[in-house]
Amino acid sequence: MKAKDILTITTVALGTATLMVATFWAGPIEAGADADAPPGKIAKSRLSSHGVEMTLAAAGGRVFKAGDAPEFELTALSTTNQLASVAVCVTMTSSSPADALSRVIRLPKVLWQQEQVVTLQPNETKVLALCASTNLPANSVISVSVREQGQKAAPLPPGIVALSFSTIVPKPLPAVASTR
Amino acid sequence: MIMFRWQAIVGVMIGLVAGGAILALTGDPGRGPLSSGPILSECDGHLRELVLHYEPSAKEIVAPVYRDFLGGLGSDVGVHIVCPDRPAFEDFVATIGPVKCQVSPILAGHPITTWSRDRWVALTPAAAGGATTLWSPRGEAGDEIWPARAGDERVGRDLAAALAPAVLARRSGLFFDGGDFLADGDTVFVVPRVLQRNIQQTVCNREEFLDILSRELKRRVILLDEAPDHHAGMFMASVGGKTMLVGDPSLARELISAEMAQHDRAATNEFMSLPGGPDFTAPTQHLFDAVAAQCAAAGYQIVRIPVVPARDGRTYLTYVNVLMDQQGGRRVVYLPFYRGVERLNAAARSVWESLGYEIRPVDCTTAYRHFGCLHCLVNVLRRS
Repeated sequence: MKAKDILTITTVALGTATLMVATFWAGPIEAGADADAPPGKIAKSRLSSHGVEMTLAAAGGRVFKAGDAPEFELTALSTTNQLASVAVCVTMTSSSPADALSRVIRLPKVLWQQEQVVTLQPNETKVLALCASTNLPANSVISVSVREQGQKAAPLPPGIVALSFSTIVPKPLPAVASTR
Repeated sequence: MIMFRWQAIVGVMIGLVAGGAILALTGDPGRGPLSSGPILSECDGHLRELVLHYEPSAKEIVAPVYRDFLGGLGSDVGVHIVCPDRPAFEDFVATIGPVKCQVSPILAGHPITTWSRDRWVALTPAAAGGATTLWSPRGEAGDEIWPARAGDERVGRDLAAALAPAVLARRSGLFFDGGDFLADGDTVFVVPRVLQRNIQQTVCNREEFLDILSRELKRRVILLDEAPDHHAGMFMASVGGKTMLVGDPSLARELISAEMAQHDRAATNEFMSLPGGPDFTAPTQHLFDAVAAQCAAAGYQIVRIPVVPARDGRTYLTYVNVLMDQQGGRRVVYLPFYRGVERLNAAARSVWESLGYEIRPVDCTTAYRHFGCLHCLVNVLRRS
């Protein structure tokens, strides 16, 4: 065996070993099996039904706070080459701790609900404005879900939680008295 | 060309062997999932190592529960008390008094709630002598508006730091509460809302969700299609031998009428300060029955036990929120009771006795109004 053969074998062996270690060392990164920092959440929750993909966002990217009557944008995208129609129900709920000693927060209370029929031409996208006719309560967890209308809440899945945010009211900083 | 081919083949073979050896020798690479065994069963084995939280502001709620429960444990059981600070632990010791079990503090240094169960689930060691893994949820519900709940997020790591190398902590990418799972030696039951919290948030669909749970918990996973909107331990308990105890509001209804007549209570909605009164409506009954039906379909023998859910959907008088302990051939249950509902307590007790359990009663009268009970307050790190 010549020196050139040994060099080639060594190079290929090193490359193969490096590739193998790099591939398997990283390990799978998915929702259930991270180490310290969890992997990223799904950037935009999406409900797919009858060839229509729907997402919901705060209108104008607004950040809602207590007292606001929120407005949303429901974006519907047809992924078929046929006329598509879907009826959805958008529900906004609030929940809050009963008290600091409770095990869990209270059952969610429905704040606002709207049914919406969306009809789309092939591959068409529509953005619909939805105005919630209620003001957000303070210190609550607000969830906005989208589900296909007429779909029972159970068995699962009932739809998606499209938005979730809180309306915490920051406590005023205590006045500090100095003895000096 | 031919020369190059045989050299390349030899090189690839040597590389594969070398790469495999490197991976085998280095073991856990740190970035991938740590190895762990199945989720700890709730009904098999002897209780050996437990975790409780103690927050002095919750003293009135937990003190009677802890006194009864800890007083029943033997000297071979270790109990880690997670406290915000040293004075809190000293308060715990003064409040509970002397006990036979070995109590030790873990000082978190940050706010916590008093509910230990939901913070993590214990995954048994992958091999004998290995570490127990605490699998913590991605985040806590309501942590933005609830500082103590935000502190709860850190408890898995606090425990691992204090108990290393016997305990590891790993944060999941999924949202859940520990109480959302009910595990025995064969199956893990998962309440529906865990899927609701994760679908299109952390996972794309139900299949991906179930796949992750199966791989992480290493047991058959059964996602309940319908169930009361609460933690599993509030309405069901796997008691061993493929037998599932499921709450039944209809069994409690008659007993409650008798209790009320005995105490001359004017209205049902004043009963035991249950918010809105007991919920014996058909839709609620259906949810409990649906759990029983799905467990039966999964091959379990079903035994029903009285339960009183309140109309707020959160407050329960429940007798499945228990701790089970196997001591050799004996099976012991630490069973909640509630002052003022003696007939219900007796009925529940007789159900457990019929299953062959020795009863150790735990007074949970102060706890149930806060949406939890004994099982919710105690987490199990290790069984033998």
